[in-house]
Amino acid sequence: MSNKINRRDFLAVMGLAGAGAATMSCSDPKSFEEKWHPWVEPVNNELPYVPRYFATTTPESDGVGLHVKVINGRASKIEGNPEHPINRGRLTARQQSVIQELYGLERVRRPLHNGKEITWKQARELMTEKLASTQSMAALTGPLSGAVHEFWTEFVGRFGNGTLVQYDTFSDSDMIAAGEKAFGRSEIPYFSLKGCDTVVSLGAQFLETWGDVVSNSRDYAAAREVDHGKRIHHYQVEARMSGTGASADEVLYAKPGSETLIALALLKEVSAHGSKLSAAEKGVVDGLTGNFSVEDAATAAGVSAEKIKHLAEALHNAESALVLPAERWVLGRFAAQHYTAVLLLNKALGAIGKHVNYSASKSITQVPAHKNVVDLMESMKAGNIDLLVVKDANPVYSLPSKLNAGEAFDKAGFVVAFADTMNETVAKADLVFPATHALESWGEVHGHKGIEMLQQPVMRPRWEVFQAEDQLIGFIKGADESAALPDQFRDYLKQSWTSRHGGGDKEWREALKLGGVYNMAETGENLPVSGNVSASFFSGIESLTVNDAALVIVTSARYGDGRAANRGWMHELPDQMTGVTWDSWVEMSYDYAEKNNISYGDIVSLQVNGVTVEAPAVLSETQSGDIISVQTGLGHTGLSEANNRGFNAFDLLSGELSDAGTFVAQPVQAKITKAGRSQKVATIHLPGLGDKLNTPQTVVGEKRQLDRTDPHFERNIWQAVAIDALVDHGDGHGGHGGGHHGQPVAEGFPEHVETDFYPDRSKDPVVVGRDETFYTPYKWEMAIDLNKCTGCGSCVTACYAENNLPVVGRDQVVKGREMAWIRVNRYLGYAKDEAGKTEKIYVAFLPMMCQQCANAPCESVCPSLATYHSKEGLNAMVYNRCVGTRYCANNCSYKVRRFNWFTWEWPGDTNWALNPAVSARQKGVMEKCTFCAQRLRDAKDYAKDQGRLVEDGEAVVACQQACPSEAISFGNFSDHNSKVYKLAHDKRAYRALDAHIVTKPGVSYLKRVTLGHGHA
Amino acid sequence: MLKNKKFVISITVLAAFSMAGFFVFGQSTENPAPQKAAADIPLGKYAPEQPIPYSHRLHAGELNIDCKFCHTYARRSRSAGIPALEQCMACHTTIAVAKPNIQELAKAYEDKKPIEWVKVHDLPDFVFFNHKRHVQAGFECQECHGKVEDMEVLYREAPLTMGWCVNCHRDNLDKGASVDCLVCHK
Repeated sequence: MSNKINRRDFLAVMGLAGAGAATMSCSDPKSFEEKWHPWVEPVNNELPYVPRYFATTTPESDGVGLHVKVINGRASKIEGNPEHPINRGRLTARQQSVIQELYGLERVRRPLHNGKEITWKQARELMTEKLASTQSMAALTGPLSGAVHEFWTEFVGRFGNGTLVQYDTFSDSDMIAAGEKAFGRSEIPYFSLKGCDTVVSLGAQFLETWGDVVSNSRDYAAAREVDHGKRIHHYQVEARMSGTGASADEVLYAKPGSETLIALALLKEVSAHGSKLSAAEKGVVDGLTGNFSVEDAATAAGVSAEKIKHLAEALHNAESALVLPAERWVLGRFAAQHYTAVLLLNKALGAIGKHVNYSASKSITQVPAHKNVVDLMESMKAGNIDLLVVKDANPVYSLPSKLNAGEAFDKAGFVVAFADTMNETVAKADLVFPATHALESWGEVHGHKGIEMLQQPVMRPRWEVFQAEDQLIGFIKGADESAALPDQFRDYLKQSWTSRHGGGDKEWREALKLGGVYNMAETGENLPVSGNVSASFFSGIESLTVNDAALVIVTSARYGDGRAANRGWMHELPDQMTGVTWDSWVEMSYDYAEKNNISYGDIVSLQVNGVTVEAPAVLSETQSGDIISVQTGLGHTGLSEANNRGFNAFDLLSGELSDAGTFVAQPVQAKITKAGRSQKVATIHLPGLGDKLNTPQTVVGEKRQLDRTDPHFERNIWQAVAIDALVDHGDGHGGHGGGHHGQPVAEGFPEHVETDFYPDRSKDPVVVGRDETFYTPYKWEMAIDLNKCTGCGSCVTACYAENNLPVVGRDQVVKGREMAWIRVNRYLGYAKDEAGKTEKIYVAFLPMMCQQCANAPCESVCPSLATYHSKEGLNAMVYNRCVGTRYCANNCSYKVRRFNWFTWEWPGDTNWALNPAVSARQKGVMEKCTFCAQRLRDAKDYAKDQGRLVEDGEAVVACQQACPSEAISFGNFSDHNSKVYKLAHDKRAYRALDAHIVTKPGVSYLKRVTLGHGHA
Repeated sequence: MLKNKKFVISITVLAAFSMAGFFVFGQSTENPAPQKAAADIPLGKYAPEQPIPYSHRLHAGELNIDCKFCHTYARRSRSAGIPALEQCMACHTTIAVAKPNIQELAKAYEDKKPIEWVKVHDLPDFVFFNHKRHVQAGFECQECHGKVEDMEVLYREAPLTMGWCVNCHRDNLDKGASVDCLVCHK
């Protein structure tokens, strides 16, 4: 007989024990006491639970302004600064994630000596000693501006012939060189899509990572608005369809490495067929492009010459065209030549001044060349540096492994790091001083010319740490008592700022409130072509394409240069095109995989430049057979365990420098071998579709006629409309819309009788009490313009930040337990030719969140009335009432409800960023989007204080607030003058699945507008 | 055998918890809160012991100080808040400075250490009560907090249960109160 206790007995005993424990804990009043910790001295203007917003920025925020929301003295969410001319209140996902670093597990809290904690006093003594004896000091920092740059220059000047080296992983000195060649301006211009009617990107992912993403997205979205039957025409030249390419009207699949030849061919064509160049300039340009031809470019690119001529023609016919260059990962040693060709092409198109603005440029001092850091590593290896001070730079991680930065750090005499968070470089330092995070520090960041931003602390330091500059002032004063420096860097900054900008305390406070000064020139002058460029500059340009599949590195929109790899939000935000979360992957086409017998999730090893890395293969429908791509940003070794994942794409670089001093990268022949293992890839696309990530939804057939009244079509979740169909011909039906306007037409929905099961609720009385009806005075609704949405995922991260969404981790994402309330659905459409072969793939994005149905399937099945229809049209969810039956999620037509399988943890201090206006949900509770009920509450509160109703535009939800392309509108549908009401009655408006299952959603989508043969 | 084992475990667990329970109950009955006005607290009302015995009867009752003089955030924030230590010291640098409790207060102020008051009116974390709305709607503090000016030791007068909240909201529908769940739960 078994001696074991069976499960039933165990449960019975433990049940009893549980009851006992509960009785005991309840009987002790101390166990549920909650404490107040009131202020000792009140803080001016600060009220508990009332958020305050501080304008600031950080050096890693790509030159945008931030508004940090601070509640009860804790920074809780980052929004954009509405005054800032670049981002106007909007942010990308990565820019919002800085706050997770502030509270992250990697924060350095104590001084470290050779990895061991020491006291501040010991650390200071050691540093003082080293500074006193140094003969050859160097300081290595991130890019510095204004007063911060002045300060560090002064610091290194005071000790042992110090040199100051700045390092920015993504700085591009070749663009500077190109400006010098083309126009005699050693600057990086501001590229603006404002008012553009044709944009040709030779590969630049300008909606994800290239240039000023937020202003690009905004201007691009505005240019997509249909005006008199016209909108911007977007051509993208690339082999791997990027998130930017997914928005393009036409994608030219050119082999990577042929971009420079294509740019020169386009320049030649445009110049030959009449351009905006003067006769003299035309002479210069024709002299430069003489050796190049469309045919050669076409051969290199593997496309027909007609396609390139078609591009040239489009540019030629455009009223206001802009050409953007390729990503520098494919340009190799010809980057400067490529950029010069692109600048000259823009000149020929008349875009200089209008779209390529040198009056709002970035100067050469803002763009540190990689050459400097390489030289520093060399002198460290040679033992020429006896003291290195590092701040905000991580060369050990991001320099190509060929350069062996780790060895250089080992050979440097003594390395001191001032660090807010731990990383590979800090781990190499002999002495580490904890420093305040960028959100706890004073500083200055310069963006485009005229934009000078102030960085101010938004909260007291979380730990007993001090700003790096404050500590350095201490050392300077320790060495030289007479040093004319204020005690605090804040005062140094203020002095420097006021001496440059004039004014006194009042102006300084105004600048802090505004976040800086913004005098950016909207347009620049139309610069003449300089005589700096000679034909020999372009000689020797050849195709950099490789046979078979080329390996190309892609800048990650989520991790950037790797700084954002310590943030759970970025891990859990799905990659735009593949939906992968958490890990590195090797992206390849199905064709390539089939040829090499690789299946989805197989671990493959990749040998490039003598470096081998391993990662799972991700097969992608949107990738052509000519390319294998990997993304930057992961592969850390110096972060906390959960964040050290994937491989480091920077290791794959050769380490070679261009003439201008930037690392060279070009397509290389990838050697891929199967490792013989496979792994489940954590993707976040709709469950039930298996590893093939596509969600085949539409089939576009040239044979099929577009018919806007086709009921099948009307039932698609994602819908598009041809631009011609929008032009009113007076018959009330829009245009003919037929013919070749490849309108996606769905197959497979059965005929369905559209009966409304539920009577109209808007006349019903609300359950109890007084004389009131549903939807008065408010019915909250949302409208999402699919014509503007680029699928970037900024809304997803904003929702995480606002609504206390937990990061669940890779293993749970694999099980489909991610908690995102809003997701960006990606749909693929195929255009097939007569033989049924896929000719073209179209990608469509659709942000999907709770649709707040008026006839909600979830409500009627909830046994505990935890979800119900509120008077204001919300599909409300009461967490404390939920018993976790999950009936609602099973019955939801949009799959937007998320179940808490666990009580998720906020590791480290990440719970400090929790929004105190929203409950943190527990295990066994269903949750979902409630249109930011707390933000609506705040808006109503504010209006009530003034004795009026909420006005249009006052209630702003988190996803809408963040959206860089301003695709999301929100407001009161019961107010017939509101924007959302008007959009809901737009010609393009539809409600997802409403025509099919009559759920009466509260979200209107506006159809994407397609052009001609192109897709959306 | 199996049955015996189960029995033994059950008895052991039960015994352990009853002893623990006895220990706790026993302690709380034998050592009542040392606050002298304990007798004033109606039976069953929650009146946690505070780090410094503070008398609302003295301040709000005898001295007739307005509630919102100290609880200054009540009309502007969701939280009424407890005044900053500085506000206590505004009077107590001159008044009753010799009393040991006040000296304790002064020491805390000097050390910049906040005093850890125990919340008497504490709601669960999934309830979002807003003082500002109720104060602005013209409700007296006493309607929820009881006659605080008569309490030597502050106790929780109202049960602060959902039924209690909803009843009042239902009675005040004409004043604009709502019984929508999202008003309090988010």
